[in-house]
Parts: sequence; structure tokens; C-alpha cells
Amino acid sequence: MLNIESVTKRYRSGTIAIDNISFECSAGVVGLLGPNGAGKTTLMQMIVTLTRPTSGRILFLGRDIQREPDFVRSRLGFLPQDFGVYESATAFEFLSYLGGLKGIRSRQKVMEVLEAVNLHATAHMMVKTFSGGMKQRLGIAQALVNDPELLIVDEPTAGLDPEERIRFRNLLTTLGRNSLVILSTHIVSDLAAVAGRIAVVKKGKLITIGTPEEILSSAFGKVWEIVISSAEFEYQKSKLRISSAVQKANGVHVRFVGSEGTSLGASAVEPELEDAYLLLTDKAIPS
Amino acid sequence: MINKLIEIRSVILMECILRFRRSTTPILFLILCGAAFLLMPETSSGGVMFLIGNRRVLLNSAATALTSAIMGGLVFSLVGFYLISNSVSRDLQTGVGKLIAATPLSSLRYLAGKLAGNIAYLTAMATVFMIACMGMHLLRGEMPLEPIVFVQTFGIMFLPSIPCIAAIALMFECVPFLSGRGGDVLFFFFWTLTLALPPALVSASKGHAWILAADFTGLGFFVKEIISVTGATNFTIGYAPFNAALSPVFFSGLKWISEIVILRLASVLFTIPFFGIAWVAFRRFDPARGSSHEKAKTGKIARLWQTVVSAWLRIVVPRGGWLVGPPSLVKAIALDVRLTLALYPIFFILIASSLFSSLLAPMSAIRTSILPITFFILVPLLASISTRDRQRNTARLIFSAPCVRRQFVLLKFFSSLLTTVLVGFIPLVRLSLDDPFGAVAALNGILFMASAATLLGLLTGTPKTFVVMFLLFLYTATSSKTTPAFDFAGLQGIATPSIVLLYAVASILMVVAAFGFERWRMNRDEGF
Repeated sequence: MLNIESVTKRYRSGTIAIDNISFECSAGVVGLLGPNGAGKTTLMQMIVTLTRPTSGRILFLGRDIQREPDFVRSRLGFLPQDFGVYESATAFEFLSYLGGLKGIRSRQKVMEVLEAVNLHATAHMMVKTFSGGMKQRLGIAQALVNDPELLIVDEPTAGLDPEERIRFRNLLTTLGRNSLVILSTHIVSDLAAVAGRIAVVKKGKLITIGTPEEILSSAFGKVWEIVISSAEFEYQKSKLRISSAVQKANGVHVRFVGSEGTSLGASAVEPELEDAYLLLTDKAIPS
Repeated sequence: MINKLIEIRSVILMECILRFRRSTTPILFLILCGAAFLLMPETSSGGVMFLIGNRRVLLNSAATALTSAIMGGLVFSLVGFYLISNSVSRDLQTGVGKLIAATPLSSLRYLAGKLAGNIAYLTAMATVFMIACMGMHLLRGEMPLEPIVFVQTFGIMFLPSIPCIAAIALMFECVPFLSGRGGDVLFFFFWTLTLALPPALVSASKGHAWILAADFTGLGFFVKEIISVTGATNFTIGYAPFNAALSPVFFSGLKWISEIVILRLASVLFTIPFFGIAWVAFRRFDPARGSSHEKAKTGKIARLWQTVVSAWLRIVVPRGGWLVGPPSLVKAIALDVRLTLALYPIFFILIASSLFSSLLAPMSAIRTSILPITFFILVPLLASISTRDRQRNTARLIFSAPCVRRQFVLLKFFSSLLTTVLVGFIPLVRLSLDDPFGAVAALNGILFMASAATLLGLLTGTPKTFVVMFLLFLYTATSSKTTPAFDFAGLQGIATPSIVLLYAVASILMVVAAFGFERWRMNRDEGF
């Protein structure tokens, strides 16, 4: 469905945002994980034709999106991280506008999408009266209004309350049955719940891509837990790659990743996606 | 094809929704009514807007419609630009542009929609203005109202300039080095050029009438036709006193023959090159092709430049020292000045050039050249000081600091004042040695400029209001050699002590008004 072939993005300043990345995806939800500045947003911007790769090509359903941008644009839903809305338009007007640009003329369709994101009751209210979460849902609605075959969402759950987050995750799972959804987020639990495949990116390079199980398997035997005193914790925290630390009555329960933990008296525990991510991004960048 | 038209329609519709829903739109309608009122003074006031020789023209529909269409068209070609030159930048700033860029809407259709939306908005404004002028004719006209004459005159003299202005505004938004406040100032000079161009076009059009099609404002066309219809070479458009002893002249109106109508309509074709440039330069919200300013930041020369500016900043407003310690308004002002200097390295050039030119140039040049040029350059820079916090959404962060929220007006006023004084310090000192009153007047001009920037910036939230109003005022002040009332900074050497006092009082009143407005907003927003 989507083929990314040796794509590189180099800015005029010389900064390489994406360095020779290649992978392919079919229908389903693909999660993009990586630290800030890893190049996730640049990669998504290239897929949605917002910016062009310096070299390499991106194919969607076998068509080069650089040569035929309208082919992908007409099948695309896009929710950028820092998107905005027209404050003095109503939710319905804003969605009708972006729907109109995507060839959607039906008022009913617009209302259906507003209902899907739970904004139908406030459809005719000005966007400036909306909370941050409501604006985020409106952003999600505009990405879904044309029933996209390719949905690209960057940090979509930021600002959503837990109930809405679950609702959105379910929506993505449903969409991922027939379409390709590329989801970038820092909330690893969101990815664990919906992503069929996860791509980890760091410093513009693709570190790995695989199913959550494959990603998890790379962390087996490398996740440890230990209970230590607060004083000991202060000493150890700079030395360990800690994924969580919880203060309890008997001391600080520290969960960390690394190839060796027994020497500290730690016991190996079942890895979680977050642990695997920490391990992967801790590795040296492949040449 | 139908889908493509629907896309354009969607853009036009949204543009109209956003523009007509702005709270400033009804205020603009009121201002237009006020402008119509001013354009048609009572004959008992001793002055009129249309004179042939020194005889006033009888206020029939042809005369009032032509006067208001020409005057309105001139003002619209300036103010209209600033009103609409934010349609693409709005999408860029709000982030909606990224959403639009990911749709099948082509750049051409997007820009065509924006152009048509802006034309629709300006046409609505022009229609309101025309109706207001018709209303004024009913009140002050000396002959019955002929609505058809108004519609015809506005349609032929006024409307053809609107598509051109809309296309120019779009071009200024899309071409990187024309966008932003620098472009706002450049457009002002372009506009003054369009005022100077018509006489040249009129003389060039002898035997080549088509040349007048280049006169999209219609001013040259008007001059030519008035000469042709009345035979007069001495006439005035704009408020002027008349000789009441002489009987008024009857003006029968321009002859709307097909050649004239075609020429006026042909001027609409000038929309095409401006629109074409906008289309070629439009970057479709590509984040990798940022503004020239952002690009400049990454270049080697720019990095070197930043180092120079940083070193200079450390000298002018040191970071440590007295700025460290308990917060106070004075420290907040110093930090705001420092921020301004850091944000606009052009101040470095401005201060340096002001310093050297003031030391090297003859004394007379300080008042007639150095200070006026400095004022012109300072206008867009000052405009940003009181608006940047709300425009960049940093206001709430700043308000959380002590001493800022309640004294925001004073902070911005003194910040603007100090920044201007920093640039004009050496010229002022040199002027004071030779002409102490001139130096006082110039300082008073700086005070007036800083208070106007503060009031208009806080009142409207956009730098454009101050830019357009003050540039127009400055243009009038620097070209009016005989009217002391316009000599706000003693630039013409004709300001009297009472004029200086008047501007000083006006400056204080503006700061007080800004203070009152900000206090009202604070009560409304935060329930203080």
C-alpha cells in the first residue's frame, strides 16, 4: 500500500531530518515512535506531500506521490501535531469547508463525522468557545471526513480526556481494518493498544520496524526491577536507564533496562513496550 | 470541473465568513459612513471637495458620485490592501494551511478562491461606502439623488481597482521578501508611486489611449476626462475653500462612452500579472521552505551576524547587573527593549547609520532627511512592540510575571519610547546644539509616535493599523510644507509652540486611552 524507498530529507541548513529510510506498510495501524527531533513529523509531512524528499521516493498504491500528489491527497486524512482551526467559524462550517476541499458535499456526512467525534451537539457553536480537547476532536473529524484510505495522525490524543482517548483508539482500530493508519505518539500505551506494527526512528534513521510482539521480544531478559532506598536511588539514577520509579513504603521500586541487572540484585521482569522502546533508542545509530 | 469550482467556492465562502464575522467589520462600516460624511461637507463651511478654478462645483449626483468614487478609490487602494493582506498568512499562522495543503485543492484554485473572497469583501465595503455617499447626497446635495449615476460612476471609476488591490495583496503575502512588515512599508511607497504615476500616464496616452488602462486607480483617467469634459486645467479634488462670490459650476458628469468603459475594464487585466507572481511564489505551506527570515537564521553570514548582534546587545542592555533582583516595571521595560533589539537586528544598522549620518551630514539634513527617514523605518518596528505578545500567544506567559499585567500599557509605551530614543538619540543631541526648539519638537514627535503605536496596537491587536495610519500621517506631514498643524515633529520647521503642546497633549491622551482600554479588557477577561 505505502512504500517508502530510500527517502532522505536534507534541509538547506545541511541538517538531515530523514536519512535514507525504507519500509513498506499495508492496511492496518502503524505506530511511529521516536524521541523528539527524530524525524517522525518530517517523515509524515513527506507522506502527505506537504514537503518533498531530497532523494528517494514514496509510493502509495503503486503511484509516486511526488509525481501525482493529487492521487494521494484525494485519499488522505491528515492531522498534524500543531494544526489550527478558524476560531470564528463554527465546527460545522469548518468541517464543511475542509470536506468541500476534499470533494465532500454532503451535509449529512459532515454531521456523521461530528457525531463520531462527539461534537454533534456543539456543531453550530463557534470554535473559539471550544476547549482544547474539543478542538483536537474537530481536528480528528477533518482528518476522517473523506473516509481516507491513508490516515496520518501526529500526536492525536494530546489534550483528550481518558474517555475520548479510548474512543479515538477504537476509531483507529476500526479504520485500520481497511485503511492504512500511521500514528505518531509519545504515549506508548496508545500504540500498544492499536498498532499492528511499530516503527522506531531516531536521528532520522529507522532503527526497527515490526509487530509489537517482535519489538517486545527484543527486550526479553533486559528489563529489571529492584527495590532500593531513596538514598541508593539518588546514587543509581544517573547510572541506570530507568523506565519507571515508584516510591512505596518499603523503598523505591525501580524498573530499568539493560543487559545486566543481577549484579545489582535486581530480578528480571516481563518487558513492556515502553521498556523495549527505551532499549531500542538507547542503541547506537546503525550506520 | 464542477468539483474544482466547488473547491473554489468553499475557499471564497470561508474567506467571507471569517472576514464578515470579524468584530472590526461593523466598525469599518461605521468608519465608511463617517468617511462619506467628511467627504461631503456643508457648503456653509466655506469649503468643498470639488473645485474648478476657485469655483465650487454644484452638488449634483454626477459631481458627488465622482468625487466620492475617486477619493474613496484612492483611500481604498491603500487601506484595502492592509485590510485583506492576511488571508494566506492567517492560514500559515493558525496552522490550517497544513490541513489545506494535504487536500487535493491546487495552489491555483486556493489562491483564486482567496482572491475572489478578498474581492467580495472589498466590493461589499465599497458598496456600503457608496450607499453612505448616496445618503449624504440626500442630506447635502443640491440636486435630486440619481442612484443610477452613483452605481455607474462607482462601477466604472472605483470597482476596477479592487481586483488589482486584491491581487497585489496576495502577491505581497506570497513573495517571501514582500511578506511581513517590511512588505507593509514597501506597499505604502508603491501606493504613493501610483499617486504620482497618473500625470505621466495622461501625457503618455496622447494618441495612445490604451496606456490609460495601466492606471488601475482611475486617477489619471479622471484627470484626463475632467480636462476633456470641462475644458479646465485648474481643478481640485479634496477639501479646499472656494470663492463664495462666484456662482457654482454645473458638472454634467463624465461621458461613459464604450471606449472609456472598455479602458477602465481593461485595467482589471492588471490583476493577472500580480496574481501570476503570487501563484509562482506561493509555497503551499511547505515547512521546509520557511520564510526568508528563518532561512537567514541558518546561513553562515546570518550566524556571524547574530554573533555581532549578541555582542552589541551585551553592551547596550547588559543581561546581568541591575537587571538581576526583585522585579520592577523599569526592569521589565529594559528587558522588553532588549527583546526588541534582539528580535530586530535592523536596529543595529539603524542606530549605526543614524549615528554616522548625524555626525557627518550637515545640520539641515538632520531635520529634513535623517529624522524623517528614521521615522519611516521605525513605523513597522514600533508597530510590533505592543502587538507581538498577543499575536504570538505569549501574552499569558508575560502577564504571569509580577508588575506586568496591570502596567502593561506603561511597559509597552516606555519600551516603544526608549527604543525610538535609542535610534534618534544622536540626531536629537546634534539638533539641540543648533536648534533647541527643533530638538524639543522632534522629541515630542517621538513621544507622539510611541503613544500612537501603543494605543493602536493594543486597541486593534494588529500592527497593520498603526503602520497604515502612521505612514499616511507621516507622508502627509513630510509633504505638507505650509500647514503647521501637520508638523508633529518639527520636520518642516514650521511647528509652533502651541502645535508642539497640542501633540504632547494628544500623546498623553492616547496613553490614557490605552490605559483605560487595557483596564477594561483586564476586567472583562480576568474579572479583576
